[in-house]
Amino acid sequence: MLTLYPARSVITMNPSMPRADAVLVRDDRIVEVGPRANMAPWLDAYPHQVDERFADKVICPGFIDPHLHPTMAAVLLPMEFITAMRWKLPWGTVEPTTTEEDFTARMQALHAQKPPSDPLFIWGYHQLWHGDMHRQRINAVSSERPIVVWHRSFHELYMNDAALAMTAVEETDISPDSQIDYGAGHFFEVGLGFAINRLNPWILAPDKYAAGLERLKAVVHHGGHTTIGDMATGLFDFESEASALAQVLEGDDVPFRTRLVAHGLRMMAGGKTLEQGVEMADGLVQRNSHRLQFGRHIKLFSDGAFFSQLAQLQEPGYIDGHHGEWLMPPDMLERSIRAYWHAGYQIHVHVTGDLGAELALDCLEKMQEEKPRFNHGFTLEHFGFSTPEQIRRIKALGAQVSANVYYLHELSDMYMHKGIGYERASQMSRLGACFANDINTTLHSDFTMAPAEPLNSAWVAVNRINHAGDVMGEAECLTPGQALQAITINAAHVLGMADITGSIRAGKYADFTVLDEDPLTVDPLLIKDLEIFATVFEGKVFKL
Amino acid sequence: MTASVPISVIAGYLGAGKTTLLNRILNHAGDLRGMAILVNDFGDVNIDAELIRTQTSDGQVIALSNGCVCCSIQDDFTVGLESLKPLGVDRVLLEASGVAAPAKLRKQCAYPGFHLGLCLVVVDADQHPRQREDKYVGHLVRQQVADADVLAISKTELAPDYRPDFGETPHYDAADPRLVDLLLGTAHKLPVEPQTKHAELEASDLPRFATYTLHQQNDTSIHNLQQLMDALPAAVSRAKGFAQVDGATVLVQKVASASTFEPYSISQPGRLVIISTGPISPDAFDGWRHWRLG
Repeated sequence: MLTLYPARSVITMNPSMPRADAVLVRDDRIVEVGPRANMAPWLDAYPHQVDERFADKVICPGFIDPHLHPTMAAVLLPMEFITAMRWKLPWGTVEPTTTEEDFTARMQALHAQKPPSDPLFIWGYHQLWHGDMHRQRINAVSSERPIVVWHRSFHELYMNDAALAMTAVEETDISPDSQIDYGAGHFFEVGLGFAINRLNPWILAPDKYAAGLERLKAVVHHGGHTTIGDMATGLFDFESEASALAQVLEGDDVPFRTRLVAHGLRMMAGGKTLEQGVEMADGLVQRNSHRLQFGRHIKLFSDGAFFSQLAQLQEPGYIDGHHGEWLMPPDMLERSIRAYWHAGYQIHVHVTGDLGAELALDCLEKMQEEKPRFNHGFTLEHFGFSTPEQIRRIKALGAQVSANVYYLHELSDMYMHKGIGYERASQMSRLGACFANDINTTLHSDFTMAPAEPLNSAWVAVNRINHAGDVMGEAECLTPGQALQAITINAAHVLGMADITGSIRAGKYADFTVLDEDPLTVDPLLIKDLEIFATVFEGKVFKL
Repeated sequence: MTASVPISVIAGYLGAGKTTLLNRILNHAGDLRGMAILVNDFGDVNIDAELIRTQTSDGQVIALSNGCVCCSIQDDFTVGLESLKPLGVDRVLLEASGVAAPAKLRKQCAYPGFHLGLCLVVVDADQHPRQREDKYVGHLVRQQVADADVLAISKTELAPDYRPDFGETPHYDAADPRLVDLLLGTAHKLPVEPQTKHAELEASDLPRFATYTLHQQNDTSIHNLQQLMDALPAAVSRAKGFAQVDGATVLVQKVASASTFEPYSISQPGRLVIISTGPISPDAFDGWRHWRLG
């Protein structure tokens, strides 16, 4: 039985036929796209039904986020959000909280709502908006219920009296230089590690984690995705993560597929050599199931966290003179890239700063001299700071870009003032240049670093408006068409899945994201607020 | 409140010789009781990490992989420290990641219940002049040297003309046995003489070690391996590693004159590290026809 879906418009992302008015599906696959009037040869040959539910909607290729972290999300999503930015979540939109008074009021409201015995974990505090945080301020909400307030960056948290008591943190255990301010209940950097170790029974308990993954599943559907990339399977622990993902993200009720890209360092855990690491990576495909697929992809790391200003920068560096970090010794990164390059892998390298990107490109250039490869898919992941000259190298070396464009929205104003100055802050996510140079370029959320909403990422890329309302680096704006390409077909290319999804054409899986409005003709400022009506995954409709 | 546990750190860039120094300590004749060792999973020589891991069965040796990766909220170092608390450990030796800056290590070691003891940085005499100008790691390598309590200069035989300029920081040849004392905390203050004097080395109570690595080229039988192990000269105080025996991996250990062979569940290439209390003649390896020395 064929199913015909007439639509107000079908945006195909197939450049040979960009628009259509209907799509014809058999089981899980598309058999024909085009004007409905031309579909008679198929419709005459097979029994068919007409499904009118999208008749006044716009059908897009299923959205793809090629880089997020289900495990991180599973830890965060059970928490309550009080955030300066809007977060659309399936169980309700978290509206922005931008003042000290409102943050306190939200804490009080959550305290009033929750069963009195439950500890309360709050995520999203940021001093720029929410004023100073300390134990006494949380105690004023309640000193009886354990309350933990987590900073938006994840790098610090605050506890009230009851939380300190719950985790058995003793003042006498704490030395003055331990990055713990006991008086304020403040744990940061290394001190945070201590707090997390004590909080683990609450935040990483198996039931919490499983509930968190269920929430992640809902979030991914809610964002309109039909494919995602777990861009570092094994972030915490390889085996336990792989088995939890297999339990929760496989099955008929899961409306998306996941490309699993193994964390390169985890392949060497237990003292294995690089060669043994490649061997282990080679074997991962044997674990594949229908929706969860490893491939010949590997994740490696260059420089430090963007949110912590640990990106490695070329001259003139940070205004305060501090330096970023390397996540692996550069020589080790080169050796790892070499091992996987020669084994024929698609390599994804976490790069945040322009010096981090330079290192990755230098490695790639060496590999091209040692063993030239075409269509190798080497991908710069995150792509915070870059230079125009690097864009040309990316093109020349055949690499691609997967950008967390949300950095520009959330951080460009702050980094301009405290970090690197206006010029470079305004040129984070140099994406217009990537498109101008015909570099395959996609957008990702790195969820939970940014909301898992492809339309929100597209909105930032098109408008380049930061949280202060300023347009940053207007010359780098994408067109709506480029942004839609970025979150569909280009993302599919980055995940090595462009043969099965990412556009609407005969032969691909019937993966659609169905919108109320047309994202290519609507006012670009409204792109992030477009209603997602439903998704279709492999021919099956999943309503939102 | 219990007494704070000191953490001695061996830092230095990739390839400087941190693992070599650590192995010397592990094979040192002294008392290592109460000491935990944290090693970095992408250390210089992974087989050594594997050897270290097999050193004890009571959980006192813990492998460490890198910490914060894109805002990782769980970091292995502090988890490692936390797991040591119930074990009654009274000192910790940390082999830092090659990209760790001492200033950050200092903060990390201030974990409740612990403090930084000594921060030793190993400097590769052969590579240092190049590394300190490198566009990627130049700043890091200079910072590592500037922030060290003690420096150990390795591979001087490859760079006889190397003249370090480390200002006030005490520095030693990486083979100087006094470094072992310093790291084990048995020497409570730093000796004042800056460079090693050979006369003192000879006079030291500690044995001088020579290390040889054999790489297996062909599969062997247990009988053959036993004969080879038995024929090793008496100066060999210890041998450890893996061998491919009839198609399976075997963990090989020799302490004093006794060799043991145990099946090993994770497949490993055949590699044996032979540690002797002094140089031994290369002829001693004549029988090891299917193994390559190097």
